[in-house]
Amino acid sequence: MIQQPYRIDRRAILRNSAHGFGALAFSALFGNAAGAKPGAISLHHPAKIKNVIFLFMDGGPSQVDTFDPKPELNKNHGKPFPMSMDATQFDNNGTMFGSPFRFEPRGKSGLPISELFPQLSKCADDLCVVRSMSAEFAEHSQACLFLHSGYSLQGRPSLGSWIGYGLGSENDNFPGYVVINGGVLPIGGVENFSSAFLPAVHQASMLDAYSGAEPITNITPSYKTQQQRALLDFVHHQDDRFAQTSGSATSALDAAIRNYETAFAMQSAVPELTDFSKEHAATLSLYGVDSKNNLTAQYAKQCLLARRLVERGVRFVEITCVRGIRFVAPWDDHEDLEGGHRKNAETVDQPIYGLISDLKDRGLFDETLLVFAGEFGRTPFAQGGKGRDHNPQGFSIWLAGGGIRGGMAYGSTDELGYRAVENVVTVHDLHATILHLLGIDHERLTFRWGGRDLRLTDVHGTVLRDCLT
Amino acid sequence: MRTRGLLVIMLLVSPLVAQESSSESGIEFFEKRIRPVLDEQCIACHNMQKRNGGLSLDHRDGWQQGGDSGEVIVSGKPDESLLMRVLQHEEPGMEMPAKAPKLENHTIADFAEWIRRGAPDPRLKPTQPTNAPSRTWNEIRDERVKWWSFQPLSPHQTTSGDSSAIDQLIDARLSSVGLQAAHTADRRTRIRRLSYILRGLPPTIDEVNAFTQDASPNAWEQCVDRMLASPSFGEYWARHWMDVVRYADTHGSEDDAYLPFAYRYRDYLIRAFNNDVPFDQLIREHIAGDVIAPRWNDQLDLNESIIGTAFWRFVEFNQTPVDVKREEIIVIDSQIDAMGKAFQALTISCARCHDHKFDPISDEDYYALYGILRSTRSGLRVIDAPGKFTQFDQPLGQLAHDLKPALATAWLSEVNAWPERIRSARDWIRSNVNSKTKAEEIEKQVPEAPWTKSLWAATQQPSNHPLGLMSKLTQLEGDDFRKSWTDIANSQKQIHEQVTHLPDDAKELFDLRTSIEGWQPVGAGLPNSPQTQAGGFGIHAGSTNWIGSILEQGFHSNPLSDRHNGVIRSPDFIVDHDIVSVQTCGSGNPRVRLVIENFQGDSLLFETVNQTVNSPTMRWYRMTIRPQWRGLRAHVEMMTRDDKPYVGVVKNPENLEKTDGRSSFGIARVVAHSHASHLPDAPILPIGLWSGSCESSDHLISQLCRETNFAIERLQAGNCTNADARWLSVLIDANILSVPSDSQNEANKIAKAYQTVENQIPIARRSPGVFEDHCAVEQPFLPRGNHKQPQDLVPRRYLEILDGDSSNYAGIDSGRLRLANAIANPNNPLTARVYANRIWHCMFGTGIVPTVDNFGRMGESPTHPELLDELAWQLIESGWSTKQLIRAIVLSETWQRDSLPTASAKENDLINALWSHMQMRRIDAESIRDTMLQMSGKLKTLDQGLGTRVYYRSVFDPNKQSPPGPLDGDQRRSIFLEVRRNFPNEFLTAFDFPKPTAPAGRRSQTTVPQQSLVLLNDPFTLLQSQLWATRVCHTNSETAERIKMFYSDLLSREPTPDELRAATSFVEDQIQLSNETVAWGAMAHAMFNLKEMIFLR
Repeated sequence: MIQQPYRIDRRAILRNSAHGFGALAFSALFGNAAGAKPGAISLHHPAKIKNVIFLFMDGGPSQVDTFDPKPELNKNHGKPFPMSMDATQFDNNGTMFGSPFRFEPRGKSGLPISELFPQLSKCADDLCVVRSMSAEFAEHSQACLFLHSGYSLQGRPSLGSWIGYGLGSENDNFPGYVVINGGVLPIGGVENFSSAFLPAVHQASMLDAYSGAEPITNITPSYKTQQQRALLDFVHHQDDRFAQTSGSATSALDAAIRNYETAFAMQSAVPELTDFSKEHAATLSLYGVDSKNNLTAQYAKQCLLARRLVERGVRFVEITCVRGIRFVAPWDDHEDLEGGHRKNAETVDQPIYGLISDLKDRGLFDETLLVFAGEFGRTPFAQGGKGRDHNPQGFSIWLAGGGIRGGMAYGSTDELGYRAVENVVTVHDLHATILHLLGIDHERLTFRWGGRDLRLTDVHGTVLRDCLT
Repeated sequence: MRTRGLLVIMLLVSPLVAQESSSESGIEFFEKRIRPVLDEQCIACHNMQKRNGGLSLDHRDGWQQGGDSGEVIVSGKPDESLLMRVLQHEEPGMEMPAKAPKLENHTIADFAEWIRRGAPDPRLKPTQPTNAPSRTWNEIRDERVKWWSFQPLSPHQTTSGDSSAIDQLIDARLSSVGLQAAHTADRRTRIRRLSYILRGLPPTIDEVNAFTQDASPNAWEQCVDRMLASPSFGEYWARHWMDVVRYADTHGSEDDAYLPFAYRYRDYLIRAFNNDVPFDQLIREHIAGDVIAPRWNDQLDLNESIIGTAFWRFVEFNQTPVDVKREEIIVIDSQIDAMGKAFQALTISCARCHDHKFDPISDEDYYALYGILRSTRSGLRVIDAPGKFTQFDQPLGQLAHDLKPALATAWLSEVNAWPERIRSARDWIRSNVNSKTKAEEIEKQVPEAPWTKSLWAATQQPSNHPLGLMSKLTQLEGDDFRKSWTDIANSQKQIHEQVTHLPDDAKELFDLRTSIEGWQPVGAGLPNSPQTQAGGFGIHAGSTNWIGSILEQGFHSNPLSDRHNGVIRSPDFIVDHDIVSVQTCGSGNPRVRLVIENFQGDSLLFETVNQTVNSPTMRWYRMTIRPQWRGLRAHVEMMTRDDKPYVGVVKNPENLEKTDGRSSFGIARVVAHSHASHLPDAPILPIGLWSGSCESSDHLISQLCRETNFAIERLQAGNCTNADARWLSVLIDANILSVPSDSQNEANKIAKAYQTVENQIPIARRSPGVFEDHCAVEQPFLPRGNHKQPQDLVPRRYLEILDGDSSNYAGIDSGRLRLANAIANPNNPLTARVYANRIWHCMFGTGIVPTVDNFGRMGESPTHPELLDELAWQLIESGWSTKQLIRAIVLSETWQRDSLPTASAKENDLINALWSHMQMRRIDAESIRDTMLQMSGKLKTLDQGLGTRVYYRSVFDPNKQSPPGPLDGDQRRSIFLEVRRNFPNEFLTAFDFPKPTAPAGRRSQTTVPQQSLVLLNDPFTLLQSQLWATRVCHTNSETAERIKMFYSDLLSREPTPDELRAATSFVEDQIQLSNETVAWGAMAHAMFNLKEMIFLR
C-alpha cells in the first residue's frame, strides 16, 4: 500500500552515490539545486586552512640527521646498539651511527635543525616538528600506501581524494587534487593517488613537471581552437537533440554534455598555469628555479607550481621528489647516508624555503598547510657501515602554515632516536589533523563500500590539538 | 545513480504499531524491549564517559538532560521526540544507530510505544557499558539468520515459465501501484541494446537491417539466439566475472611482480561463457578445480577445471615483507573476501577481528575458513593431460633398460684409451700452465680432447672444479707428488668419513633417498617414488651430452626425460635452526626454496631461502634463516624451471613463452643446523684411489682408470653406488664419457632411438593455481586479528549457518572440495540468488538487490524478492545455465521496453525502481574502446593468448615498468590487454574500469571532465578516428554517402535530414580550415564524441 509517492532518499544517494558528491559536497549539490551558490559548503566546523601542500620525502629521511638531534647516539657512535631491535628490512644491522650532521638551535624558538637545511632553518619559528611519528610498515610500498591512504594495500582512497570528496574543488577548470610529478613516483606507483572506491573525479591529476611532455594527459587540444570549437558545436547540437529525445534525461547524460565545456576551458587553463613568464625574476630566484643545481632547479619549479595551483583553488597538492638521484625513493640511503642525504636536502632546501616565504608574502601561508613527511624514518644504528635501514618505529615530520603552532617540537623518540616514546603520533592522527584543519571531522567523512562505512582513519585517529593554534 | 532498495523498504513499512505489548507493565516493557537495544546499539557512544553529541543514554537522568540538540525524549509524545526522528532516519546527519543499518521497524515501534507510555526507566545510575554482550553469539546469530537472504528460496510464484514469469511479476507490481509500463522499444533500439549488453559491441548495419526487415514472428528470438551464439558474447561476459574475481596479471606492491600465465584464466572464462558451462560447475572449478573430476577440453586438449583455481591467485601481496605471517593473513583475507562476495555476496572478511557487526558470521567462522586456505598451497598448474607426457614412458623405459649394458660396454672400451689421453692432457698443461701467455689466449689453444679441456679448466678454478684435485696432482712428480697425494688422500678419507654422519647440532628433517612419505610430487612423468638404488640415467637432453648424469639415490624428476617437469613439496615443519640445507642436484635452472608461511615471493629478502641449482651431483645448498622467521611454519619446495610460481618483475612476458621445457632436479636430504656446523659435499673422485700408496702421476692415472672401470662394471651389474654415480656424472658432465658418436655402435643406435621418442614429449602449458597437498592444518584463533597472540586451533569448516559441521572437513585434505560443494548447492540460499542477481544487474544496469556483492544486513534489500527467487529457480532448473537465464530476460517484455518513461512513471517512480521502462545507461570502458576499434574495421576476432602490454606515454620506473605497448593494443578487444596493478590503463580507468583490489560486481558510473578530454585528445581516439575516416572515405566517394555510413556504422541508423545538413556543413567548414583528410578525420572524431555513442537506450 502506497502511503507516499516515491521520493529520492538523499542520504541514501549520498552514501552510495558514485557521482562525485561527498558528505560535505552533497550539501553543496542540493543547496545548488535549491538556488544556493556553489561553494556554499557547510563544514563540520570552521576551517583553519583551505589548501594542503604535501611535500613527500620519498624513501624516508633519517630523523636523527634532520630534526631530532641525539647527542647520546653521537657519544656512543660505533658501539653496539643497546636496545632490543625489531626486525629490519635487510637484517644487516651494524653499530650505533652518530649523525654526521651538526645540529643548532634556530630562530627565536631555538628549534634545532641540522645543517642539512640552512635555508629552511630560517623558517624554524614556523615549523611544528613532530618527532614521535610512527608507522606500521617497514617496506616502501606498504608504508607509502599507508601514509597516502591510511591502509597498506591498494584499494583505499588517498588523503587528497578524501579531501576532494569532502570539499570539492574551488575552481571548475582544475581538479581538486593535483600531484606535481618530478619524475619519481612513490613506490607502489599511481595507486598512491587513487580515489579507489570514491568517484573517479577525486583521483589525483598528475601534473608532469619533469619530462617536458604535456603537463596533464590529454590536455593538449588535438586541433586548432577554431576547428575544435566547430567540432564541439557540432557535437553539442547533436547531443542536445539526443538529450531532448531521451525523456527523463539522466543527470549523467546532462553532466557528460556539460563536461565538454569544462574540458575545453581546462585546455587553456593548464598552459596558463605552467607559464612562468609573468613571475618576477626575484620570485624565481627565491625558489631556486635558476639554481645551478639541476635537481634544486627542478624541485623549485615544482614548488612554484604548487603555489600557483593553490592560488587557483586546488585543495590538495602533492609534490613528489625529483628524478636524478634514483628512479625511486631518493631518500632511501641504505649505503651512503651522508652523501645521499646531503644531495637530497640540497635539492629541497632552497625551494621549500622559497615556497614558505612566497606564500607568506602573498598572504596564502595562513590558509595553507604544508606537510613535510617521508613514509618512515631510518635506523639510528648503521646498516652495514655507512647507511641506515628503514625505521617505522619513530621518525620526524613537520607541519607549517595555517592553524599550526610554529617553532615547536612535539613528542619525542627515545634517547637514541629509535622508537617514538612520548606522545606517539600515528599516520591516522596526522590524517585526522589535516582533515580537522580543513574543517572536516575525520570520523564523519565516510563512504559506504563493501558493506562498511569506511573513512580515511579507519577506526583510529586523534587530532593533534597540541600542535594547533 | 539510483538507489532502489531503501525506497521500496519504505513502501513496505506498515504504520508503526507495537502489537501485543499492552499487557506488559512499563518497566517490564523497558527491560524486555528497550534496554537490550540501548545496551547493544547506543550505550557504547552515548554513555556518561563519552557523551557523544552531549547525550548519555545509560541512565534516566542522562537522557532527561537531553543532548547538544536539546530534548531527546518527550515523555508520552513519540511524535515530538527527536529520538523517534533519529531512529526513523528523518533527521539528516543524525541517522541512528550510527554506521549501522536502521533498526527493525518493530523495534522502532517499541520505542514509540515506550515513549507513549511515559518512557519508564528504572536506571537511576549510569550502567557501565560492558564489553560482555548482553546476548550470546548463538542468540545473536539466530536473530540475524532471519534476514531475507538466508531464507530458503520461496516456491515458484507463477506457473508460467521463463520470460512470462518475469513479466508477470514485474507487471503485478506496476499495476498494484497504478504505474503504466513503457511500450516496447523500436527494433533498432532493441537490437542495439541487445548487441551491447550481450557482446559489448554495436550491431553491424547488416544485422540491424536483417532484424528490422524480418517480418517473421520469432524474429527477435532468432536475433537473440544469434547473438548468444556469437563468440564475442564470451569476450564480453567473461569481463563481468573478471571484475568480480579482481583479475590482474600482477601482484602489485613494490615490484608489481608478474603472475605468469594469468591470461589462461581469462581465456578459460571466455570459453566457459561461450560454451555455457553450468555456473555451479564453474564454482566448483574456482574453489576446488584441482580436486574435482577434470572437465577436459578435447579440442584444446586441456583440463579446464584446474584453470578455475587461478581464482585464488589474484591477490596483492608485498614481495619484501619483514613480517611474513602478516603477509599470509593479507593474502588469505583477500581470498576469503573475494570468495565470500563473489559467490555468496557476504562480507565474511569483516569477521577477521571480531564477530561480524551485522551478519550471522562469527570470527570463529572466519578462522575455520582460514584453515582451509592455509592448508592450500600455491603454484603453477600444468593444464595438459598427463598422458601427453607419459605416453612415451613405456618405450623410453625399455630403451633405457637396453641402453645401459650397451653404454657400459662402450664406456669400458673407452676407458682403455684413457691413460694415453690423460697423460697427453697432463703434458699439455704442464707445458702451458706456467707460461707467460695470458690465460684467455691459452684458452683458445686448448686441444678439443675432453680430458685436456676438463683438466685445463680445473687448473683455472682448482678449489671448485670437481676434477681440481686430479688436475693438481697430475702436475706434480717425485716428492712433491707423494707429499700432496698423502695429504689429499688423508683429507679425502676424512671427508668420506664425515659425510657418513651428520654434525651433532644438525637435525635431519627429511631423507628422500629411501622414502618420500609426506611429500607431494606433482607433475606428469615424475616418478612417485625415489630412486632407492643409484644408477639410473638422468636425462638432460638440453645438454650436448643428453645423458646428463647417473642418478644418485634420492627423488629425481628426470629418469626418463627432463621435459618431465614438476614440483615436489615437503610437509610443514617449524624452522628453529639457523640454516636449512638441502642436498640436491639439477640442470636447466630448477629452484629449491623454503616457503615460509605460504609466502610466495622469493626475491630480495627471501633470496637466502631459495637457490637455483645447477649441479650434476648432489650438493648441499644452504638456506639461511633470518631471525624473525624462527618459530614459523615452512616447507621445502623443489621445482623445474618453468614451474617457478614467482618470477618477480617481468617486463616482457612473451619471453616466458619461449622455453625448450628442459629442466630437472634431484633431491636427497633436508637438514637443519646451526651456523657453526658444516655439511661437506661427498668426495667426487673414487675413494678407492686413496688406498695403499701412489708414487707418480702415471700411477695415479692408471689407478683412476681402474677405479672408473670398477664403477662402470657396477653400473652394468646393477649395484652402482652413490659414489660411482657421482664420479660417472662428473665425467659425463665434462663430456669425457658420452654416447658414442659411431653410428654403428649399439649404444649409439639405442640412444638415437631414445632421442627420437623423447623429443616428442611436448612442452607443458601452465596456469596459476593451487595444490591440495593433503597436509591440512588448523588455524589458531587470532583475537582481534592479532597474529602475535594465537589461541586455540579452530577446526576447519564453512560458515556455521551454511555448512558448519567441522567433522565434514576433518582429515588431511584442506576441505576445499567440501567447501565447493557447500557453495555450489541448490540448497544454499545465497548462491543461485546472488548469481541470478548479477545477471539481472548486467542486463539492466541495476540488480534486484542493488548491492550485488552484499546480500547482508548492510546491503540493500531486493526490490522484487519474488522475482529474484523466480530467477534463482530458473537458474537452478536450467542446470545453472547463464545463457538460458539471459535469454529468458531478453525475451521478456520488461527488458524490451523503451527507455522513455511514461507519464505516470515520471510522476511516481522517478528512479525507475519498478522497471516500468528501460534505464538509459552509459556503456562501459571496454565497450567504448572496442567500438572505436570496430569502427576502424581492425578489431581482432576469435582472439586469445598472452595479454598485450598497455600503452603509456611515459615510463617513470624503467626498472619495474614494461616498455609501452602499442597505441592500438594490437587491435585487440580490451579484455585482452594486460592488467598491471601498479600501472593501470589510463584510457579504461577514465571510464571506471575497476581496480582489481576487491570484487567489483557493480562498477562505478562516473561522469567526469577527464572523459571528455580522453574522447577529445587521447591519441588512441585520434588514431581510430583517422582509421575509420579512411575506411569510410575509401568505401564511398560522395559526401552524403560518407556521412550516412558514419551514422549507420556507429549509431545503427541513418542521419536525419537535419543531421545530414549539419554534418555536411561541419565537414565543409573543416575542409576550409585544413584539408580533406583532416576534415573527414574530424568528422569521425566528432562522431566518437556523440553522447548517443556512449549512452545506450
